[in-house]
Amino acid sequence: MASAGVRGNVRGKVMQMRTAPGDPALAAAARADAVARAAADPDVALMLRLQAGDESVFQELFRKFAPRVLQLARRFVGSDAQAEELTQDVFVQIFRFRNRYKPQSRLTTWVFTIATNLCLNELRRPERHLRVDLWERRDGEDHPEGPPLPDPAAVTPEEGAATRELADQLREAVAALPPKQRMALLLSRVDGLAYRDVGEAMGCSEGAVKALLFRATQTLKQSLRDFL
Amino acid sequence: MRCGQAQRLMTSAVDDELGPRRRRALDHHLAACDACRREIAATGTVLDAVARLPAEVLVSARLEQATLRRLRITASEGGSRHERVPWWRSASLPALALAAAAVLALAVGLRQFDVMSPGPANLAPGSAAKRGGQAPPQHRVPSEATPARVARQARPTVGEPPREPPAELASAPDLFMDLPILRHMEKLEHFDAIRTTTLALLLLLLPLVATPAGAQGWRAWDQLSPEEQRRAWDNYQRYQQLPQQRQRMIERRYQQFQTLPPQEQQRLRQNYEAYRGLDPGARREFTEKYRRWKSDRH
Repeated sequence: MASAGVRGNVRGKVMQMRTAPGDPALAAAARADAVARAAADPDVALMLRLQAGDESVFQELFRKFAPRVLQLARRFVGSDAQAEELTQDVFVQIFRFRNRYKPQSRLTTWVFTIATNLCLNELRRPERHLRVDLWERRDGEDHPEGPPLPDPAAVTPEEGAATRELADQLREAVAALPPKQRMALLLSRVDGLAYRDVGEAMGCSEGAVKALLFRATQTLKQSLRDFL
Repeated sequence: MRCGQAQRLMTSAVDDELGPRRRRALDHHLAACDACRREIAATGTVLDAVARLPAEVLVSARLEQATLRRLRITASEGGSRHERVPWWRSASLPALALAAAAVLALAVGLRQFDVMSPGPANLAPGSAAKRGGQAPPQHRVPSEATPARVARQARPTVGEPPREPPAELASAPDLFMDLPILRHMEKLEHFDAIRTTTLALLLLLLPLVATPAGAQGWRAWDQLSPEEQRRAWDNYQRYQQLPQQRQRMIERRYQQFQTLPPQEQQRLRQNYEAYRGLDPGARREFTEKYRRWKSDRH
């Protein structure tokens, strides 16, 4: 409840800033709020350092977010090479538009907003030419996600096999979902974003996110009914 | 609450994103409806399975390096150029009008000057003689030396490789190191089938003299020796001058080359060394045989 209150206050301040941008008292309040957030959230602190011109922190940002962005992109676009190229594009955009980030919103949400837009754009032009296939396994990495881990809940080999079969079926079913449903599902369930943040990343309302997730879940239940 | 309405709330309920009033209404319905209890259990199972999908994947050092290089290039080009105001937006309307008038006046003035001055550039061949002037000596220019062709044929071997190579070069230095192999890949693949007895002898001697380059797999730009960097940079510049169709073909061959086993890659490199060692006459002869071989094959 307390955190919701804080979020509400911040939102109020942002709204006020939009309506009265020249007010020095509000600007000071926003700065104080940014400092407080930077102290509380290391991601925000990193981003503020980048905004201040310290480009050395970019590598840290990349290492922190690239594994999630790349995974999202891999699930979203057909080829691994495209996913790598998209990940590069996401980080170039983060750098270019670094001054547009406002510490009032979570950095994760902002990063996923950029990733979401680029992924959805990518699907609109599937014929995009790849100049160089970066994904070719030149480092000897056979399993980018690591070898499949045993399921701790499975007590017998048969159960383990069933779990793997379910996982395979699920991956296929998720990949077959319409793009927006898939994005909403991945952002909310896999990346753990709240519905409000999913809506912000996808540029739609919370209600629209709920509708997308409902339809996605219905489709998945149909696809996986043999396992349920 | 009806079953259809309850079903629409189930995903939000499992995600704990339902307001307290709706949550109570749903709980009330579930307490009385077996089918919906089964349905929400299935929803929970599906969403839990989705949540167990890995959220992260290993990011290769190659991708990190390629991205950071792109970033450095972006930064050096003026990272936030998208946010810069273009000059024409910052200029006032009278200033723009004045600038346009000045450009127009200059253009008219130049045109006048151009018409009045009888420079050789203004004269069609023979027109100087017609006007009674001295015709400039006519030099025969070889037809293949048109400016476009000269530009295409220029061999850009000058210049040291930059400290920050272009993203394309940084992400695949091996492509550019192996560029000549990729350009002649088909020839080199079937080198043995096309070669003559002289070449066979040369190939027997080859392991003694050839030092196959780039046999260490993918390496980042910084890991290349200065000599290798120069070679890749030189080839990169050549590549930039190739027609797009040819560039696409090389990229396809590069991907194909990556999938070849190391022994096969080694064989192609050795064949390339042998091909490079041919004197111009032998190379022409080989190319002729290659064409015949190719047409026979088709």
